[in-house]
Amino acid sequence: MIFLTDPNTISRSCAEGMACVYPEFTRTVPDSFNGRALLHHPAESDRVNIIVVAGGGGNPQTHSFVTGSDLADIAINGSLRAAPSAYDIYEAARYVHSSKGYLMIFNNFMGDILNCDMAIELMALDGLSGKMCPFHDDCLSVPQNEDRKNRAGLIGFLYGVKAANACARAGASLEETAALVEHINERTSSVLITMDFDNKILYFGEGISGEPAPLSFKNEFSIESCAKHALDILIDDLKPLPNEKLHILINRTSAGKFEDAYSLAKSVYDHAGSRIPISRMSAGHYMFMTDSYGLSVTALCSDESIEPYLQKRCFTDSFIL
Amino acid sequence: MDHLTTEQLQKMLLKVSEKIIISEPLLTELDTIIGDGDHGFGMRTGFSAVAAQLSEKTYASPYELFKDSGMTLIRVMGGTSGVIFGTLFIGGLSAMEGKETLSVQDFADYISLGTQSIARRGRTARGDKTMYDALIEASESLLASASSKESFETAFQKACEAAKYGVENTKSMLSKKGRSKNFKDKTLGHPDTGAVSVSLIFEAFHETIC
Repeated sequence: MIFLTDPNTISRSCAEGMACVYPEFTRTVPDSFNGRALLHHPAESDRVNIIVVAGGGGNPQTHSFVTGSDLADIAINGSLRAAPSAYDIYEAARYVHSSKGYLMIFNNFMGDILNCDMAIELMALDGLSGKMCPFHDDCLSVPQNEDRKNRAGLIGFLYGVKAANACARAGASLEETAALVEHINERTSSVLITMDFDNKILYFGEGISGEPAPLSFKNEFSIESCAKHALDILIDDLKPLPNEKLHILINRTSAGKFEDAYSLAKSVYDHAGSRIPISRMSAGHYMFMTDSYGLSVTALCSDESIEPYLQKRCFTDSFIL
Repeated sequence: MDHLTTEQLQKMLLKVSEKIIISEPLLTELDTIIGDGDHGFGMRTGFSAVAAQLSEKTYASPYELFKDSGMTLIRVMGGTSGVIFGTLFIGGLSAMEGKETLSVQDFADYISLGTQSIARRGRTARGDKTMYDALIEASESLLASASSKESFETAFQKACEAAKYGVENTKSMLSKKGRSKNFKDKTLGHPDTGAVSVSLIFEAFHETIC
């Protein structure tokens, strides 16, 4: 990831910039050590609060999740390539002081898990409770026969954040909210498609740190092929049940184009229509993921326990979900 | 030398910090091959903060010295390295409580408890190709030195060699933890970067005392 901003302070300057631009929605933690957290304003400390933790991968844009009132209450970015510290998480939680506890949602990477684990210990010293849910939706990140809990996360966690917020607003406990999000985690899969325009190759499953893609297609360089193969991969992975409907999320990477994202959305809609009903689709630029030209497709198989929490559209300064 | 004062330990940690800071290019190069390349940057950031703190402050006890340094690593670094190396510093603090100086046995117990904390938190074991592979060798060497009533000079020399042995062992291991596990067979032949950092820490311990 290339930025003009100093990589040593990019999280702080991004959070402070957003708080400056959107004072009606956002705050930073006063006198914060690293200044990496952005809080939704006004804080609602009488319900479960949702914390998005984003490390590595260089995604300071994650901060924008808090600018809409129906997503995360707190978003904490690490440095450009590392998870935020346990102290960053603890400091923000201590400041907001939710009486119902905190659910931390993040992609399944070691640094995020370890820091959240330690943050929960630190929070307990102040009488605050916390649980974590590492999303493991990147279905091609490990061989198919491996436990899905070993997979990396991609962008499926957005569904977890949205549903968790709605669930918490309905008065659910930390345990109930965490159980819902864990159910969503188990029914969500994503695949990243990157493109080599010179050699007309589609790659499926490239890792966000450049790990090689396990699948590629050379002579099928089209949006339709992206849609068809992505859906085949996701449906084969999730094996939708008769009572489930699909939620589809298309994300374009930092280089991916607006037009391609919506064309892919239409093509996915056409391909899925005859196989499984679609409840709702979203498309946009939610996360950078990689500098490569690419698009990701996420599918969530939603049942009656999930569906009520995903109906409301969420608006942020950057996207609609 | 059979006991270390707080002042000597502070010099030792300053030496550790300096060694890690100047080793950033090496750590970055190694981590770029089989990881996401952030280890050197993170370690330099964390230990620069520790070095700045050690240059300005004085401590009343080894406990305060190591607790302050560990908490700084956790606050400043983030990522896997922040928690893991922070845990190395604070996980064994109970072995130092109430002590004005440390014996080889105290230090061996401190490192051993920290090593156990890392294994628990990181759910890691020998052979996973992590920093633990170097740390467990150094820790067991220190415990053996303590049992044999060896001096700090001998104990640190042996622990330093043991950590290097652990680093060498990681070259033939496949990564099972963290981002590097995604590089699968490509990790063979390369040492784990965290293990190299552990080896540098024990090298600095040895150089300060000898």
